[in-house]
Amino acid sequence: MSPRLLAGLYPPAWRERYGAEFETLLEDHPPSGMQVIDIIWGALDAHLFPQAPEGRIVMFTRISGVASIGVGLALLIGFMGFIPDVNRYTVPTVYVLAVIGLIGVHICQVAARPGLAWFGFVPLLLGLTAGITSIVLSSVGVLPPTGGEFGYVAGIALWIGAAAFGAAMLAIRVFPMLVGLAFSLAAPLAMIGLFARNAVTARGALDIAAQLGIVLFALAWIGVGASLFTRRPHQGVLGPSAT
Amino acid sequence: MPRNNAKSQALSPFAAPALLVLATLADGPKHGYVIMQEAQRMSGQPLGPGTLYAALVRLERRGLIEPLPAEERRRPYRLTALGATTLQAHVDQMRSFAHQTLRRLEGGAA
Repeated sequence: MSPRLLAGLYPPAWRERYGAEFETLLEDHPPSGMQVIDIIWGALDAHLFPQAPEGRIVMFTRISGVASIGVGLALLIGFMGFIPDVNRYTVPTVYVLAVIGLIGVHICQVAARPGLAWFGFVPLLLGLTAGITSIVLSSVGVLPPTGGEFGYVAGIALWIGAAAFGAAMLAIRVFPMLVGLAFSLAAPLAMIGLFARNAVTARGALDIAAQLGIVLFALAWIGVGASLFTRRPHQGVLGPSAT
Repeated sequence: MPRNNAKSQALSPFAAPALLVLATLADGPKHGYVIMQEAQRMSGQPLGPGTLYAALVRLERRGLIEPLPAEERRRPYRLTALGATTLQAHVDQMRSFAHQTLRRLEGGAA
């Protein structure tokens, strides 16, 4: 690989400061295969832990971004996994993952703009507790695989927290409006679909609502992640108003 | 602007490469490739360009090293006064650790 290409793996701010000397080093002493891996690792480190004065903010938002994308993908995978047959731990695990991720991004949001965002915390913490409890109790056989009542509490808490989160995002305009809308719509769709389907015989439309809600929720997470990952330091912790 | 509080002077989590870089600069300014060669000679382990620059960036940010004017696109770095003090403190700590460990080993073997 050419030195310019390898230096190009680093963030623009890093290249501006160290790019010339780094390229010279690689031109004078072409890197071995192991050294190329070392450079790729170093570039990843520079992206995730930038050392510029705004580095902590960038690091914080980028790690949140990566985590959000991960939660979104985990939800999609989990969703695909439990359509044909509910896997023993898929649903509660996905709930817990989603709630942990949601709390993390929520903390970012509260750090930037307290207020409406706080409303999401109580249901999310409740959901996290209930989700973990359902996994533990179902793993020892006390509860059915779906976590029984605790699973329902975790699910309801998750969707209420997601809806509050979406409403907060729409109100303070930290993330793109589409992401806020996706969160806000995902919550009622999935909640109605998942919990009302048990009470009726004609489940077709409710199943579609539930599935649409879950997919929308997963896509909203990926949207949050992409938004965080591409955020620039001058945009503050989570938005221009936070600077 | 370098951060000079006690916490920022800790070398973790890049302690080993950062300490190596500081050690190679102890006898005068050097540029990237010479630092890599010296580090390998001192530790017996190769220091890759990615790890080297991750350490250089952190050390410069903490005010432990500083860049000198570039010479034909190669930029030498040197220890700052804070860097020399920090390195001295680490080496003293390592010497004390080595001394105590040797005493215990000798006592245990006896």
